[in-house]
Amino acid sequence: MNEITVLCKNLSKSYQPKLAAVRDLDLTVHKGEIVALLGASGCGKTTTLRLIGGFERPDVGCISIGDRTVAEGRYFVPPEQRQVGMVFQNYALFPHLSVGENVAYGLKRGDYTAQERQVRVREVLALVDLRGLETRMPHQLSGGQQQRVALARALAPRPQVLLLDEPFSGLDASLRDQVRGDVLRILRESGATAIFVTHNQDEALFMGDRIAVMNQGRVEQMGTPETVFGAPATRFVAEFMGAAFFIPAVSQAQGLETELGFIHQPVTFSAGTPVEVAARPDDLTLMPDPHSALRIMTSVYRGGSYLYEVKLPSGHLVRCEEPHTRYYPPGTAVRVALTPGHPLVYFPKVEKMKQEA
Amino acid sequence: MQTATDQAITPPIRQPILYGNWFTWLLWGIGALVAAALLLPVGYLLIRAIGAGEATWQSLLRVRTLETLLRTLWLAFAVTGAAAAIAVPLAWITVRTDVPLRRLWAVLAPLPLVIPSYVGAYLMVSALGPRGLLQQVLEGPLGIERLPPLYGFPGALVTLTLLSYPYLLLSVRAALMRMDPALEEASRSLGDSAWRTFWRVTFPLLRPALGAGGLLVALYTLRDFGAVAIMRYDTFTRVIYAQYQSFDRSQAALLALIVVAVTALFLVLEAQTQRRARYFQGSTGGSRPPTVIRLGRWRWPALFFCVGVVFFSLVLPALMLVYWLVRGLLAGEVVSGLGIATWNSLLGSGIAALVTTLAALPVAFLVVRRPGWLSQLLERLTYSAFALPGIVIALALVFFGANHAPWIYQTLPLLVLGYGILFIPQAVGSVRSSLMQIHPSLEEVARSLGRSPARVFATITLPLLRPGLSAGASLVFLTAIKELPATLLLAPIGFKTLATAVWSSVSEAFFAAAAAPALLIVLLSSLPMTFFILREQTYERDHRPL
Repeated sequence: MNEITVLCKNLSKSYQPKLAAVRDLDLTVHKGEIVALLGASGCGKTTTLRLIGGFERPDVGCISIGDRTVAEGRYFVPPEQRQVGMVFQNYALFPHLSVGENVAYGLKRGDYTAQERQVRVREVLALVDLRGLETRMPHQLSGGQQQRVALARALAPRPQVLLLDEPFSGLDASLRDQVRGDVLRILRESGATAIFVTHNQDEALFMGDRIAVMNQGRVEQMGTPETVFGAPATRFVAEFMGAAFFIPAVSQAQGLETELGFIHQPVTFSAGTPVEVAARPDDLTLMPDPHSALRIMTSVYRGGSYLYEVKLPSGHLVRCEEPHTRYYPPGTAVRVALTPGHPLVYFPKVEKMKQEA
Repeated sequence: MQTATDQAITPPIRQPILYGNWFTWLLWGIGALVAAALLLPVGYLLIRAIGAGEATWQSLLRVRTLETLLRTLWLAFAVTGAAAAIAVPLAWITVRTDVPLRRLWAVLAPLPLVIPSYVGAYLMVSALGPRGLLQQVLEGPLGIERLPPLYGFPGALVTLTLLSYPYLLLSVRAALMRMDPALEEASRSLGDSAWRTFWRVTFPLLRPALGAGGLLVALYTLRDFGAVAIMRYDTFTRVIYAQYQSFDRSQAALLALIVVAVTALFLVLEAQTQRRARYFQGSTGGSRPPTVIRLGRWRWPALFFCVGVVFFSLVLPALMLVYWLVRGLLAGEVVSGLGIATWNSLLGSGIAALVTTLAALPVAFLVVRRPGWLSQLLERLTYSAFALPGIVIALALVFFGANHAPWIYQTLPLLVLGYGILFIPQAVGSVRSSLMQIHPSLEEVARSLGRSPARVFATITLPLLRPGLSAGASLVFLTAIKELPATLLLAPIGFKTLATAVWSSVSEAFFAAAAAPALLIVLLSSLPMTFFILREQTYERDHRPL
């Protein structure tokens, strides 16, 4: 087992009584690992990050960083003694200090001589590819540059862990992909342990060694991108991780009986249990068939492909992705088949009645 | 970097310039008239000074003039320092800590702004001065017949500080509330303690606010006539008034020009701070509210400080006012002529509010919708008048009227003109900020639907501007009601207003007679203040977690 850098146990925090932002959360981050906290807004991911950073006190639970407990019960280590580097959503560069001064800010006089400070500043600025910009003021930089300064500033004192709060949300879409790649490279090169918060699945899949999908203050599932995407543990994760939809089915001994035919795959439920199968548009194939009762409802051109929406006799909508060379106008009679090429995930059927009650 | 919030704070894109139509020329015409009126006082003073005889120049170059200059600067400096010593801790306590009754102090602390300086000085003198209330209380049981001297520098310093610290308080408070909490958190996560963070991050970021607020306090002191006159401390304004009352009026004109020069110097200094301030707006604003610091056992000293400031700046004056009012009523000193004074005040200020707002409208429109060096110059010009003491403007108009326009001298229109020159910045400011919020696309849509610029202005811009117009007009109205020196110099003979009623009663030490008009003035000037405080409170409430 790897060395553990950040450990959160039974962490709970609420701002208003009865409305917990984080509840009973467990999180383990290993040394050198990049973990994504992924979830919709309000799921508690930023609160978790701020709890680790020491900007909020947990109501219950304990946090340790490295081999040191930083919050437990009434014991609380203030942020300045935690050795965490924080990259804020809006970068929070000190507007009255130059780039060099910003980066040098965390390098304490007692720990570094003036020369060592200078060397370290140059080192991290080189790491983030901003050599020679020491004397610029923050407002003279582009958004992407500001972000890299924020990253350099957080990395300079060699923190135990780097915390990044929605690090790419302030950037233009066109810039985002490039900056994402840069940041990943910088984190890898510096060997940093990092936790970052995002609401964007692509970002989490791209950056995270592991992803913690959060919902209503809890971690719903934590695992590698492949696990979380390919084998979601809950219906919420399946839905959140990508355009999934659900087809009602009944479990059988050899597989699942669905409206779109039988799927052969291992099944753990006893035969006859009503379930829902999670599928994505690429798991379906569509073929024109004049004898079929199914009709294409809408078609959306997505550049590389067409996305078709088809209504099943039961009223469920399924989406189906086809190469851009195969265009069928809406209204075309089609046949739809499930052709996943891998076992599909399924969940016990949620009783609509129960949910409403 | 374009997020939704970014777009909201970016000023609207300027409308393409469409010169040449009659409507724009009309606006420029009115703008030119306004500019001429604004240039008149200082321009005329300059002409007078150039034309003054050598004897006048000689008499100016006396030690006394230098002494007055030093006294004025020293008072401005001392008041600014003292006001900062009150305002910075108070702002920090009321924005960032859990001091008991925090909201209450936030509401009460800026309120001294509604007390005109002559009213504040009057209450101070009548409480702490010779034969004032404090002495009367002490004399009986203790036999104390003399108090530490109040007249002169100490009285002026205390009065002006207690009345003007709110300018600094409001600007520092606003800066603290706007400050992105992530900046301090970043500093903490980089290893600085809360105390070091304050000095390395928070304080440097407050510097522009301190500069701007400090300038307001310094200008307030420089402009002040009422407090220094009542406290008998010879700064420029008091000396000018004395000269004006004597026969050698050309010397008063020269002294007034020195005040103009000092004001210009202050403004240049402030512009320097503002230029640096641009660096301070680098990062995108924080959306989170300021973090609240738990004071622990420091809560009680902090509370004591808040109570002390509010007591001396607000409660004591209020109690004194009520005391004199009751005493006057009991003694049967029925406030004679209060009705006519009130009517005159309402009349003068009301007309001034109307005229000034009408004049401000084209100026604001040109500034926002026809940006360029000329409109910028016009805007600067309106603001420059604001910095000048009322007595300087009034004096210039008196000279001008007496010598060149006897038909307007000693009439209501001249008083209104004086008020207008003094207070047009407030109207331009309100209208301008209101206009900035009307996105030009609204006007562009109207143009594309076939309306002429004038029609668009009348059917789209003007209706949307109504809140800004009424805010501007009420600001002018309520400031004009308080104005003392301009009213003293410019009002027609026998035209007694609330402000001059207070002044003449206090000059003759009829403290009880001054109470009723003073109270009316304070009540009237509280109205816009209440509005601003309510707005700040709403802002704070909406931006604070539950």
